[in-house]
Amino acid sequence: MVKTAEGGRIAINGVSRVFEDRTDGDQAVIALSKVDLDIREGEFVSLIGPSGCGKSTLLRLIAGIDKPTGGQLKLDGEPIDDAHPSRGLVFQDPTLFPWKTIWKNVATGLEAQGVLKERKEEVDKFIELVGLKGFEKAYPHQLSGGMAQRAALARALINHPKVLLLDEPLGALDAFTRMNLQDELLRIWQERGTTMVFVTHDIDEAVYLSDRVVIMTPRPARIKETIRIDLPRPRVRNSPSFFEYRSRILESLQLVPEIGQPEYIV
Amino acid sequence: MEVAERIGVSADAKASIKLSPADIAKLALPAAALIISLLVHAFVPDVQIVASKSEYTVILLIALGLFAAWAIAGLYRRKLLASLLYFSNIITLIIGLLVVWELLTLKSGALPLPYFPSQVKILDALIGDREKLLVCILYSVRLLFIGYVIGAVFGLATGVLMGWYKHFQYWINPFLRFIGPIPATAWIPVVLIVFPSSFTASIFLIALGTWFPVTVMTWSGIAGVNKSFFEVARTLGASERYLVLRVAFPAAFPLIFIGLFMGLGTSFVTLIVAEMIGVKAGLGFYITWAQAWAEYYKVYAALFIMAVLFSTIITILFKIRDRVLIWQKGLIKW
Repeated sequence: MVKTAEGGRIAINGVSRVFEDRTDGDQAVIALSKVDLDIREGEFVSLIGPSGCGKSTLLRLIAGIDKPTGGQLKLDGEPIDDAHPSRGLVFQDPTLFPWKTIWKNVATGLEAQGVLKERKEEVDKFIELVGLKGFEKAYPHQLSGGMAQRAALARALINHPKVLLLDEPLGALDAFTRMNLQDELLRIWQERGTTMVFVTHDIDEAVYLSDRVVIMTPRPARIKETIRIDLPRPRVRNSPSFFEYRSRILESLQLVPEIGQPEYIV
Repeated sequence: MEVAERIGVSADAKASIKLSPADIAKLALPAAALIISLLVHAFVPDVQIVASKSEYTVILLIALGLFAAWAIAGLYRRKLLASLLYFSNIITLIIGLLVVWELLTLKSGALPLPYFPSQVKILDALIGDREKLLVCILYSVRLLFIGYVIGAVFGLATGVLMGWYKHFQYWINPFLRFIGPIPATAWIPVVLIVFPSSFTASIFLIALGTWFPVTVMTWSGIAGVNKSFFEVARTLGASERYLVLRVAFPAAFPLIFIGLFMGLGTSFVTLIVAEMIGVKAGLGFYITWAQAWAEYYKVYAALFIMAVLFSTIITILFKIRDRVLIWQKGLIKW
């Protein structure tokens, strides 16, 4: 139904981001320190880690709404130096424009590029894709959290991005809505082949969704480990292999007591 | 509106519209007040000379007729009945106050002339001076409209530029903070000399008075917009032009509206003062002129017209806001 977008390849080489205007003691905050990461076309990658590990910063750098203080990011070989419709963004807060109806919110990407007139019916298609048919004329304040996030997803997808960047998009939703939207997200991903970069602090979510889980640590803010999830899809949330991956990530994050060490280290 | 809804619900509970004795009493109150008003007006002897006695009677009769039509329509339309029941107390009070005022002035002379004319005497001015008043209204509206629009447009432009460009804010801010708080009317002595005519001088003053609040509120509105809106819009391919006009501006509109409203209030003040001092036309001029002849009933007539005129203009502004801000929850109604 919808034109399939081809996923983009992301190359992150020695990327650092130092915030000179924010301080930790009397030192400038180092949000990211020499990060290397390659993401294949159409891959689903989750960034996971405790707050302050720079995962959102990395996402913003890929989006191009923030610039690195060192290193380089590339999409399909082209340097990333500004925001671009080829990289869609969804925040935890849906940040729908409250003065626009759902239809107009979803249409924003086409309107901003001056192609809305020719591609009007695409707006309807994407609204249908995320299951919001019938809510075109509603205003954001009339929508539930899950519906608002669906609308935000449709808004990001309308430009056929090569990469979809999701910053804890399901973090504020209840458990049922959340699992529901995880499946929706997978369906859209499989249908469209978009490269997905997904920031989360939910380990189950990361295992359930991703081809690879990238574990990040604060101080220094860098990648600690990358774990490939070799599970067939659709995945079963309570299978033994699922739990194995889960515990591997927990161990990597040092969230399980080691032998002779009865307390949690967070 | 809320109250009307509540009443509407209780009325819905009944299958057909049946009036309880309390409802009937409530409906009868304004009618009774109007009839008393008519009787007092017609049969209590006057102690002052007025020309519009029969016109005032006609007005009261029209009011009674409108009220009866409203009540009869209310028997068929629940909403009309609900609003009638809701407003009946305040309508009764207003009619009652008019009766008391007539008794204190026209019927007894308890309040001295010329300072406290009866409403019938004020009606004399509205009828006798109608052509002159109409010309004054048109002059005032023209001056207000031109001055306000110029001030609002400049205010919006300055505010958007200040909110969006740090440099612009740097260069304009000191002047805005230093000159803005001076009441526009305080410039009258200077402005009357500098400008070629009192008309252009007044337009400048009204525009200046409007410009300041509109600028400040637009500026703070634009500067306070959630940064995520811009980030999302940028990833959707928005140009800077789009970010300013289609993201920042609508997002800031609730505050911008407050600026427009404040500017409107200032423009009323500036208009009337300018007309009282410099301009030889308009409602402000009419008031000073009537005062010079000690024709206070004409002053009251002009005040009455101002009340109707300015209230209408504010209503129009709020209607525009309600349309533009349809997406906002919990707006106050004017």
